[in-house]
Amino acid sequence: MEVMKNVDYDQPLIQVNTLSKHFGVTIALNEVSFEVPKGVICGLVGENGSGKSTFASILAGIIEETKGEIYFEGKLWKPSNVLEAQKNGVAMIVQETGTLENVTVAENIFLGQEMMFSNGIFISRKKMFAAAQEILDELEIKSFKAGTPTHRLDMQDRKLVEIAKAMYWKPKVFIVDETTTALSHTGRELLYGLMKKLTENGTTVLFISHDLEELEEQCHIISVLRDGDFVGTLKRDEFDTERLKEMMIGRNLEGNYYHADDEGYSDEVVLRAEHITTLTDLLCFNVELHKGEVLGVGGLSDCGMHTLGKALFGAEKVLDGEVILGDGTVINNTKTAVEHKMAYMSKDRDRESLALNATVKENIVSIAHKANQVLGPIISFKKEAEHAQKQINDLSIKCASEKHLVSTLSGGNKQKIVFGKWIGVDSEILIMDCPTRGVDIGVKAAMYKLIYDMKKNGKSIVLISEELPELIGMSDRIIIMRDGEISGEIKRSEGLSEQKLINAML
Amino acid sequence: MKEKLIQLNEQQFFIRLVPIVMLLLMAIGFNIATDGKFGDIRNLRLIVTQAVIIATVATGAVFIFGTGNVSIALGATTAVTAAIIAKIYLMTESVVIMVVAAIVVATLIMILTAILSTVLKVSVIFVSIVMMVMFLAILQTILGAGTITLPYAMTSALTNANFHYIAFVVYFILCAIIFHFTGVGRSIRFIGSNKICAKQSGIFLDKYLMIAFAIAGVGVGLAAIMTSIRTGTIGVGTASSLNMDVVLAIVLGGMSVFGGTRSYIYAGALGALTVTLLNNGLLMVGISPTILQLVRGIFFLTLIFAGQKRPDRLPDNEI
Repeated sequence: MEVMKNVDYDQPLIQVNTLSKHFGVTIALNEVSFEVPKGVICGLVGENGSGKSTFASILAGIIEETKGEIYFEGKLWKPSNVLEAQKNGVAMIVQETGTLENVTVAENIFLGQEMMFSNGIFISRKKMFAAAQEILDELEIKSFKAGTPTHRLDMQDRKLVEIAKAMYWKPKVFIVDETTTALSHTGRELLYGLMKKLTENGTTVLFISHDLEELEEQCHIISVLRDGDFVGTLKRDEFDTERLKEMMIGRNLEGNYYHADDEGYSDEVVLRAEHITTLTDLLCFNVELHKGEVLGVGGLSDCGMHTLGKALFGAEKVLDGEVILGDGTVINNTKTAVEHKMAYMSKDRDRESLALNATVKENIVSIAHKANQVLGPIISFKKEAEHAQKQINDLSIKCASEKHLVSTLSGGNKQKIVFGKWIGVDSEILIMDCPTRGVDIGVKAAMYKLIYDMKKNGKSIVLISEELPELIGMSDRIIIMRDGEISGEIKRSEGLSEQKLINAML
Repeated sequence: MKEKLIQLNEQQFFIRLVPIVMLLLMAIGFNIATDGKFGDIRNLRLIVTQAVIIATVATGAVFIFGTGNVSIALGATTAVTAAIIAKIYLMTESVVIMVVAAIVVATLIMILTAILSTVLKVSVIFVSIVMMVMFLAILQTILGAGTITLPYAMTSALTNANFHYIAFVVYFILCAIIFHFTGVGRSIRFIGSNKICAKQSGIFLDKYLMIAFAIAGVGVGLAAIMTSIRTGTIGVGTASSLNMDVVLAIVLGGMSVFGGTRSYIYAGALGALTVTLLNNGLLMVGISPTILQLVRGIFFLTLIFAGQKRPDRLPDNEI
């Protein structure tokens, strides 16, 4: 395979020289060297754990390198913090939330820069709000105002706040780290437009994403990292999805990793929502899940599908109506749900599905106390370790040991831990909210296989997803939601198109 | 070898050793500074006797701290329980009734704190501030202008029967089993690590907060008996410094005040020994009680600061 090692431009904006970063025993970047030219959208791809975000974080002044150096505009680049990097032209929006909840949008945009609006000893909020609103107007963001409290915004709008914050600094390098997974179609279009506009003005955009199609559409060049090593860079005319996959993974990956056959499912209803109404989103909502069924739930991000997942699991208060299991048990809290072998994987993995400062084992066994008891309520350490190790092996979780802290693992490995936690207790009904968000194609393929295997073993799955190909590829039946109601129901069939689902969404 | 060391470091092996090393260094330092008087067997026995009350309360408090909550009403609860059981003993003259009453009263008081916190949805620390003030007022009402004195025969009999040590050892073993070997302990620690995740894992936060307070209540009850029989007199100053000693003990014992899965039951007992040793040693080398409080404060803040350190990780949590 012929891959260009460096793009042929006169003067690179960023030069990376044998850059390394170690997190304890984990080598995140291993003497990486490459260049990024000025005024391009440079895609940065690689599997989870390949080192993309680590590189971006070093460039943005969030963390320090272990050794090696970066040159920015020909000068050694060593920002001591994010603010210094921003002031000198490198701004980044991160994968998970980077906003403060209890302040307004304007205060988030000018966080740490409040003195710019000082009138003597006081800060002029009026001036600050006006300046923030100007940025929002420039970016054509209309869904909230500068004075809106941030806690009222959903994940997508918070991302837009981060983009606005980054734009204030008129960056020479704009890093977008896995941001599009949190954005709806409108949000994505806004971001793509902004990226194009920036490159026209000479800014370089470093675009980190697992969506190869998106990268191929938006980028001028794509650089690939694998296991902390730099593999190469492809120019636009060399883009080829299969080639990129091979560069990322180091082996051929089957083109279609969705399940192709239509095995159907049982008529037995294992879970149903009867006229459920929640404080937000759902009004008199009905749905049924069958044994051995993968029920896809799609729609725009604010259609209520995420609330539905929580309500079915008892994690969202149901004001009226009931969620009932096949045996008649009413699910009105998470404890009852877990006791009846239900599982829930949140879209907001780091905040809701994992204890980041706990170890891999502590997370996996957190709901498996009964399974690991030896004498009455006494838990066996040995059984627990074996339980955790089995999930680590079965799911190929990349970690130094079961005692590895979850916070230092990549997104894909974290998601595998969430899977392992629920699979380990043999959950029968699994509610998965965007289970492949922020994971690479290799892990994605493994998860699809896992979901399909679970279906074949009679498990029932609610698959909430914002990715239409995933819904079409994995679901036996798809319901599309709009404004908290079902706007369309489509059975698995040959030739089911994304357009049909989009029509139901809009 | 280097990798093994890094792995041990990641597992917080060295951080867990710090409290033990600190305790030993202090002991050696004080012994040298006092020309061996500190290491005298009578002094060491005194330290252990003083430490056991703090250790009993601190061992139970580990459950509360494990959930990520802090209570500052433990000293006041101990004092008010001591006053109530002293009255009960004087009425009944039964040690058994006194012991049972101590455990029941303290446990109920602690559960009340947990109920108020969960029902009113107010943080434990704020509820405990109110409870502390209220209990001190109740204590004054019970005592009036005087004190309650227990019969010497009873207090000395319990002391000679080693009530302190037996009660502490039994309580410590039970707590260790519950905290480290049962689902209750695991759940409590998991709540301290991430409340939202714990809730979505089917763990009832309110239920486990009640359990944590109930277990701590048993410790407070036992400590109330120990306090009563050690001094034989209950006054407004009873257990007045106990709360600060307990919080300091937990931190000195190597536990984070933020709770979570890095919580260990031995932290309370180990820390109690360190606190008592520190108090005793500083007084023996001639430090004034005012400076002693200052030193304790500096220790506390330093360790809280050290406990805030989090592993080197990315803000987006991805490598």
